[in-house]
Amino acid sequence: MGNSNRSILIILFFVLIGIIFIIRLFVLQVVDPSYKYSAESNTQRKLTEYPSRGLIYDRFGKLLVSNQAVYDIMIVPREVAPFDTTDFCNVLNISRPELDRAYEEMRRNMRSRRISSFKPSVFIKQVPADQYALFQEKQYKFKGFFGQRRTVRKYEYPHAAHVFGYVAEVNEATMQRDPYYALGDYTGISGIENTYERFLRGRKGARYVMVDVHGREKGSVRGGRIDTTAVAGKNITLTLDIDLQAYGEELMRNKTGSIVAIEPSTGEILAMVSSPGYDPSLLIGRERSRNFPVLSRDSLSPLLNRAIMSAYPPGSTFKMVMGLIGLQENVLRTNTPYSCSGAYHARGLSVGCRHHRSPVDLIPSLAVSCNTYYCIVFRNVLDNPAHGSPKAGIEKWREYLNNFGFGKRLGSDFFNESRGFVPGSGYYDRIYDGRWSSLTVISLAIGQGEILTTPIQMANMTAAIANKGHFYTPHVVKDIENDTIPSRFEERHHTGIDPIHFDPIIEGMEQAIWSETGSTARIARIPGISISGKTGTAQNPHGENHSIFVAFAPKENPQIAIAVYVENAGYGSTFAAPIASLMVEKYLNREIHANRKWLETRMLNIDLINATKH
Amino acid sequence: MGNLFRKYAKGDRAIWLVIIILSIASLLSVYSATGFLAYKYQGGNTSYYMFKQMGSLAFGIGVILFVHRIPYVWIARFAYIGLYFSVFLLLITLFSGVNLNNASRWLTIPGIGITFQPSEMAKLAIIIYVAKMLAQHQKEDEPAKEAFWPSMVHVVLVAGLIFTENLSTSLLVVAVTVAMMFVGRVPFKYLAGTGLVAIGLVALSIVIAPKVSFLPRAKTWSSRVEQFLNPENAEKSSTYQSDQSKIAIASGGIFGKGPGNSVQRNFIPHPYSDFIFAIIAEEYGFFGAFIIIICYLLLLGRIGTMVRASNRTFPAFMAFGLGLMLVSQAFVNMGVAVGIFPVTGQPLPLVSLGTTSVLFTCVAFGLILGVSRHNMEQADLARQSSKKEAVDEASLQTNEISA
Repeated sequence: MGNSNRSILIILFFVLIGIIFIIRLFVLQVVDPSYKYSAESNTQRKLTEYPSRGLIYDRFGKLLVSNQAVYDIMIVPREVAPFDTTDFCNVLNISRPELDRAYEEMRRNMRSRRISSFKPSVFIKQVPADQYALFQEKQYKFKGFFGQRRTVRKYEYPHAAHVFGYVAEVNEATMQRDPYYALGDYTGISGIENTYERFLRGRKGARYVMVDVHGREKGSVRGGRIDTTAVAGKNITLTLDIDLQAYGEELMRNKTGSIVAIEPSTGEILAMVSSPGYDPSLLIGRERSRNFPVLSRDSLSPLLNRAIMSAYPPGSTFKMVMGLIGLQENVLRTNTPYSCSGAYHARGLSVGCRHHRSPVDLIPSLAVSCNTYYCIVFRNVLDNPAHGSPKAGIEKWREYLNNFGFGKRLGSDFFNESRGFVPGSGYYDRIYDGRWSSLTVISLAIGQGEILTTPIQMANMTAAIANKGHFYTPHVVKDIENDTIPSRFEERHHTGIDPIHFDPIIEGMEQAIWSETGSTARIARIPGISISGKTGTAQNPHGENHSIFVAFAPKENPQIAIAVYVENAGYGSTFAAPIASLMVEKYLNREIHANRKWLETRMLNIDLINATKH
Repeated sequence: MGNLFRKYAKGDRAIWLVIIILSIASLLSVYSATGFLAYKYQGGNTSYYMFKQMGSLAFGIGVILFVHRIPYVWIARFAYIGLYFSVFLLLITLFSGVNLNNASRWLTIPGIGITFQPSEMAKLAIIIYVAKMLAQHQKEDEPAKEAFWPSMVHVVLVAGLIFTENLSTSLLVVAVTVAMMFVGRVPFKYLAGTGLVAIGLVALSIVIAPKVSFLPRAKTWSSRVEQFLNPENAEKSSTYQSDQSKIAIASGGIFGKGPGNSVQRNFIPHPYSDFIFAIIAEEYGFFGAFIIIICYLLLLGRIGTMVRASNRTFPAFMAFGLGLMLVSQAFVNMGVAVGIFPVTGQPLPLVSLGTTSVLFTCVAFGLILGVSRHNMEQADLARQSSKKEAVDEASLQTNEISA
């Protein structure tokens, strides 16, 4: 009968499906191993052992940053019995809304199956050890809760927050970039905690335990033979002198600005102050969520590391570089005097200067900080017939500046360094539509106008002058335990200026402080220390001038080069010079001479922030 | 024993073998897979569900022994009554059924307090009814056009009643009856049209159903289909069932972990019913799973031979339809376990834990074996009569000779 042929067709169809099943089974059970691995993960759980982060020391071996234990309060939702919530809040020092929020979050995570009601998960993060002790006493009252130890940073000094940066939980992006990280791990977010994260973090360990279907631990896997122990992070020694750093922060208290001090022979940063700053302890663990918004909303931006991120016009402190370029370009002779009538006049344009003896040659030009002198030098550099045009001239000028580290990132340990700005011919062609001359951009001669430099760049320039022509990239890392610091910090960079040209410049910087007549920074004199320096007063469209001072000492064998910026504080000699000289004195003598105690007291007590506010 | 068996259990031996193998597989795997249930509901009496299943199976085999003795003519006579009774029960279930997993498929029989799924009964009734319709309209050398409409109306009625609560069963009903009509020489264009309409309806309901309140399970359907089509996009928790099932199958390897050694039974939801095939594959490996597949294919193969041997159309269509239903149910269950089909709750006939399922599966087996018994008896009769004729002829001849 014809029916049966049709039925065979359908039966064959089923046989085909049966064969597909058999093939599929064979693939799943014999060929493809991927689901077999998943099978193991069902019955085993990996418990992470967190390493402690590497310690941080200063250049003299003083401990700066260590670790402290905090406790995450864990919850096993199923085991929680009704408890006294007021008591719970009190022992953990949290508010009732905080508890409610934590509870709501837990409920949400349970619904989305991110956490299990059988397995412990974090309920309250990072309870301080002393608070945890209170909790532990009453833990028997809170069924389903227990503490898990984590370590967070502990800062031995309330200083150098910008250098250290801070540590926080990893975010999604970091986890995707680096498979080492898992949810809940800590990582350095900024400063050297970020830069040297790879060394500081150590290596996590793992403990494997058998779990039952509810996730309860049932002993170790294979007797713990596959477990790994956590390896503590490597300790790091910084180039900072914490006493100098602390002193700098004290001096800058109630002022906005920055100090960078460098050891010229190595490029090691001795102090890096950005003011106003903050106590690094404010950003530890739980405190951070409370304090970070406050700090980031503060109108004085305490989180901003001004030393590397704020760019200002260098003002008169730029004159040394200008003079050096003139000498190297052979358009300036040390002994050629230029006369100054209190301003530089040319074709209807004038650049003001102050009254001083006239005429002056190179060395006294620095001592009295003559603007006219450097306007002439600048124009000679740009209009040098050897280059053909001011456009080529400014490019040459710019090349020298780049060699000094201006207009680019120096490449220190900090990823968020600002470049500053050194304008070139392209820039002026754009804004002046190609029609400009050396006179148009004359402000550059005295470090004003479009040029912007950061405090670290200025300190680096000072170090290059102290070294008579070369510098090492400024850095804060001195030593990494059982490892080497980045090789770029050992490379010598040349400014392209012959060492011989530095002698008159350094002489001029010395005269700026020590000359009997007309020196601009007498206040920076330190008994017994041959300090050389230069004031700067950067005009600033937003208000009062910035007070700037750069200096190095001693003249022979310089050990410290320093740049000080005090925002909106007026002349360089008023604030920046005294602060810089106190820093130098502190570093070299470890104490302030009795004759200068009055100056120290005055600098420590002056309050520029609140004074300008009211 | 052998004689006893031969005396009471008639019909195809191979089908009986399939029943016995599947029953044993059922007892072993149900015992292993119900540990969790036993602790949760039976106070740790781990053998409770095995004995319950054993009781169901024993009762079921009794049902087979009884049913396969009923002459098919009687069954054809009850086709209408069975069908309308089922429809009546389905209607009651729809409005007052017990809600289990958000699907009201269960009906409590008043007085006895036993819950059962009327859809199981309706499946059998509609197959018998369609077989009857097809048989009635078979003609020599002419397509059975007239069988289409009455069959189709009732198929749509039954499938429609099951549809809202149990999409996969209603689809199976349509697919199996259409296959029967194909074998019953209903013109192909009718069937192709039905197929297209069915596909259209299902697609439409999956798309718009989540927005309509009277289809409470629509969200489950569309999310399961979605998961199946895009497993990468699905949330981890939503592919959980099929992932765990695949882990079970994969960890079984060639020879399996051995009876009672399943680990995945603790991770798979409903390891004793919807995912029992995964547990078999885990404990008895590729070979165990292979044997189960072969059992169902063997069943279908034997029914094929029966259909060919049968000289009556109704029993042939009925046996074929029932066999097809059992095997497709089995294949859907296996397909879900190995990840070929989207997740759905078809039991593995005779193996999954569940009294209703076992009972009506056994009724189906009984009916199939009844057809087989009838065919064999007919064949015996024919042999005997031909022998008798031969003897008669021979005696005639001898008579002639002697005469």
